[in-house]
Amino acid sequence: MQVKRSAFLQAAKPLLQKLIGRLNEKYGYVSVLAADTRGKFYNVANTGVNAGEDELFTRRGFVLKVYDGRSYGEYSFTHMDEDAIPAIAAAVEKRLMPLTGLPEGLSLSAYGQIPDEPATLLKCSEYAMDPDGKGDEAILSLLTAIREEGKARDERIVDCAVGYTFQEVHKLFLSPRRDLEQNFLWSDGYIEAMCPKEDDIVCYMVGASDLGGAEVLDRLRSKLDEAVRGALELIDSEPIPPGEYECVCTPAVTGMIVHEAFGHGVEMDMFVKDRAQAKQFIGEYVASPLVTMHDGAAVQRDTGSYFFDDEGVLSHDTVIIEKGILKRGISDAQSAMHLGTVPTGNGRRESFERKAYTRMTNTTNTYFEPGTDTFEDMIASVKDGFLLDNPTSGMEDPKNWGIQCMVNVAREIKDGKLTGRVFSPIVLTGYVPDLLKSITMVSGDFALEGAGMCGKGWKEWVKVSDGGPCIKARIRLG
Amino acid sequence: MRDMILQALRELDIPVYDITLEKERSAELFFIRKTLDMRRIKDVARCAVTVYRDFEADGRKYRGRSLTQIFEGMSLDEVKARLKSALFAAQFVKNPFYELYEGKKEEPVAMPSTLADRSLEDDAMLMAQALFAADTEEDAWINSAEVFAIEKQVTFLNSSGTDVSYSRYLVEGEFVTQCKTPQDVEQFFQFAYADLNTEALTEKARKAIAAVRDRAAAQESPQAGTYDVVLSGDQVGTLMNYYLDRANAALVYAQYSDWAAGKRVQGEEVKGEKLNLKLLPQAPYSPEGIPMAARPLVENGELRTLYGALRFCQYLGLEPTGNYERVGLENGAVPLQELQKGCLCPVSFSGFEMDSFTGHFGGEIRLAYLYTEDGVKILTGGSINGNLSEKQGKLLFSKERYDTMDYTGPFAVRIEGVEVAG
Repeated sequence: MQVKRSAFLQAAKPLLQKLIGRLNEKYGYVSVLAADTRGKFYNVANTGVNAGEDELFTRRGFVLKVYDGRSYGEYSFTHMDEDAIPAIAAAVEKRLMPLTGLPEGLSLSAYGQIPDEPATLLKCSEYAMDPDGKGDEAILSLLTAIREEGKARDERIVDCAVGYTFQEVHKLFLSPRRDLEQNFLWSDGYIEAMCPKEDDIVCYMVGASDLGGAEVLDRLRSKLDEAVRGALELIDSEPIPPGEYECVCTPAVTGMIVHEAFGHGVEMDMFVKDRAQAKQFIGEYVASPLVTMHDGAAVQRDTGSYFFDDEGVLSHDTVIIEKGILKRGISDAQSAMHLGTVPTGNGRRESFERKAYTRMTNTTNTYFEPGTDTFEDMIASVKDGFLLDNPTSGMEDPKNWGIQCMVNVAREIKDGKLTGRVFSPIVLTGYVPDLLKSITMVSGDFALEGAGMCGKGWKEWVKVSDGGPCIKARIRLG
Repeated sequence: MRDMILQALRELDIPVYDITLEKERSAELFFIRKTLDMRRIKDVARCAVTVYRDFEADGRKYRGRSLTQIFEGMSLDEVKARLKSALFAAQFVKNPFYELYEGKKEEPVAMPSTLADRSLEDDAMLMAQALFAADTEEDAWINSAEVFAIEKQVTFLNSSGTDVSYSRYLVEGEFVTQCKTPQDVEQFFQFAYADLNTEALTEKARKAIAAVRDRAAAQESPQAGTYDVVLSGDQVGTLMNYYLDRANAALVYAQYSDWAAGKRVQGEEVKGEKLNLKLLPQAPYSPEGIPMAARPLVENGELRTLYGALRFCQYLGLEPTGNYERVGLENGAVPLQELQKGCLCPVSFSGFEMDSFTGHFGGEIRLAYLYTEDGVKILTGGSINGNLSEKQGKLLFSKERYDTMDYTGPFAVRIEGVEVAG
């Protein structure tokens, strides 16, 4: 089935074109991104049952971008009808663009005009099961059943929280020469099993996601065993002795390293600000020749997928690292103008209320020659090290390529065998190229996941997905 | 919009509901070095309606609820369709019955702020001026900055007579400082003020530029081992979230926390300072319309108040207090210099994490000072990894104070015996 178009956006379109026409008489470039999104969440836990439309994912509004011959300004607003057009134009002309009071010592940027290449597009994504069609009762019943089954597995499970969210996204990008419309649906879900450990609670979360509908719930249910087993193992986990170890990373941990440690570092708005070390390493080896890395909304089908970005640039498949060599970064339109490069379709906004930044979409670490190593071979090759699993969080450091990633579980490997000892929690640190160059084995498995959200610094939350194969590398753990 | 929603609720015969209306205006400036790269303004309205549906099952009374979002420009029929859909979903949300907050119509509250004295565009420019006033040196500078001046108007009403509103101003943002010699490094900082606090921002930026200069000089990582660690600034507030979270009625009701009033939350044997924490309101009313006031959270290491949202407070038989996101810590008698003696003092992390479920805290160190008898060593790299539930009996706090939107109290805390990975 295809995602249907938004009646709201269809009705708003002629008004927006009129607004663009009016402002275009004064400003060289004018565009509007209009968004109509609806996100619904369902969750069950000891705290109770919840269902409703999420505020972050349910928005309706517009952002205007205008160019005055030197610089760009944006106006985000929600009120739009025929009568509102003069007031919107006045806000742009009187409050936004006339720059008054710029303090002494500060200056205004000087940009060229965005080339408004002609393009039209109408795209709708496919899905197998309509979440609305499945219905509130069926979804909550399924989540409740998963939760009850999880709690029944072991009396030490104090809670097994289960959640499902979907978002139906409708966006319209209009400029004098571009008319783009996209309609897509993503879904994700989580299971979080919790056990007491002395006075505290340990948690193990698993997720499932897709560019699709309620079909993701079947995949989620299949992960219940992993969540319960993981939480129970954490009860007897020990603090890890700090040190550098040979590590095998599961696809989820590989994904976090790819995303946090490297992906943020090739967001080219950071190049513009002189905030990314990667800028100096284009054309150089930054990773093992086993590593090839992609990003792009068009490269994989998951929660980071779309047909055009929030600046009206069509989605790409960007090869960032090819056989260990850093080829290029990813960029939004304005950063690309600044750097004299081609935008890669990575200009994304948290919503129409926020600025566009360069953001990852589906970031993957693919491998050079698939099938060379098996997971079993990788474990067998480790004399004294760990299998790292269940990533929990990470923080970027594009400037210094420092790694900070946290994982829930390190499983001890001695003489090529998992011993059953579990260490937790684990902080991964070190220098990104050191880690990527230390990769000596890559599995034939591949997994992508997008159940979480990604921030830029501490804000600007967007959906992304990341993943890859299992990798073996030397990593500093603490 | 308010009248149309009330009409739709009446026509659909929905007797129990609450409505939150928000208007937000902002002026936003984005700088790269000292160049204004982008400017933005915003005028948006949001409206969230929760509808409730009562039902009985197995001889028990339940109250389901579902949230929907209403937008400007929607017709009455569209609003009714959204509310109807939410009402349908609410019948499957099987939560034990509870009452909505019974308030009354109150006069609107305008939270006093010097930011209200001029336009948001001017507020943003003045804060930008204050920020860059600290950027006067050749060797270290502000790399980039974002400044947001915001006005919010919030109205909350429910079917139990509560009808309250308030307005508030805020300036917030972030900036990055950079130093290129002897090595090219940066540091990330955030700020938020309820007033036009230009002096505080200039001072913060000055300290941030000094810190990045130190980080550029730092070459070594700390040796792996166990250290007495001093955490400072925002990290102290983050640590205190452990107490804030654990005392939340939602976590207690869910059995994620076993805290109860009177519990010695620092343990039976406290060799360090006994904590004195207060819950501090950030707005006159909670999102459920409950009037907010300062309350004791922990006194001399004993929990005084379990706080939280209406539903969980009623389930636990507590006075509904509303949720709090700001704490005040009244401890601290040791001068910072004395507190730092012999300690590793990380002042900047790539991301400092506090897991309130496990008590675990940690992060990768971007800049740390190691105070020894031989002097001060500047370090970078490595990570700390500790557990507050194990270490909280021996905490010592500085006399110097620190104030942010979510924390006010001592600037620094000393924690004994923290594992450091070099």
